[in-house]
Amino acid sequence: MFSGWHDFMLPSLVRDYNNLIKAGKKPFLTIGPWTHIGGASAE
Amino acid sequence: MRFQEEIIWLRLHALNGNILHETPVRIYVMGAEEWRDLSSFPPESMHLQRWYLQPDGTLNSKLPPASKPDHYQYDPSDPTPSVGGAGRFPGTGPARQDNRLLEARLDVLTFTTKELSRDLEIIGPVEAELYIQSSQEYTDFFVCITDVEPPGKSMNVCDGLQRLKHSHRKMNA
Repeated sequence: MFSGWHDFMLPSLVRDYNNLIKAGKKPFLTIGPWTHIGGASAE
Repeated sequence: MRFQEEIIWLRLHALNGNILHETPVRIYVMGAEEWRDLSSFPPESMHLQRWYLQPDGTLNSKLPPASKPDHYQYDPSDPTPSVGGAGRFPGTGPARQDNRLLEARLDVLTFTTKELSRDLEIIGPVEAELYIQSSQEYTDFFVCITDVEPPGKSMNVCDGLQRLKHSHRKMNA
């Protein structure tokens, strides 16, 4: 699962991640210095 | 780094491997400017900290004394702009911007800590609890945490937006 600290979808992705953990799955999570579609400092 | 992560992911699935990283969580710590591998998110070492809005416009970990409410007037003909943050569309500027002009507006309240004597890492869920009253049926509340850099620049860290109706008694944003 990929998201960025400035991704507007981060809260829902973390919710999905927590639900997968609760369901006994082993998701991989990566959160980078990104927005939804680009870098934090890019347009 | 992003492409590197995607290649690792593709290799995992294309080659039918079963391990992506040694540890399941890889996060970039902004400010420290480094990648960190963790066994869970939020990190196991996380402990919740409460910071309170103080009547004198400061922010600290002490329970505030009783005080009159802070207030502001919102003018729909001069709407509060959004500066940086996650809720942006492409082409509206970078996620981290200087918020000083926004913070100088009369429809924005700010609460600022003393200069931090050492680095403070915030990793994990961030929530704001507000006790509010509005003269309008619908009101939007926007809370933004910024990092005030030594020369005074106030740069976005994270934010949340919540629309409230009068009928909403309690809401978590």
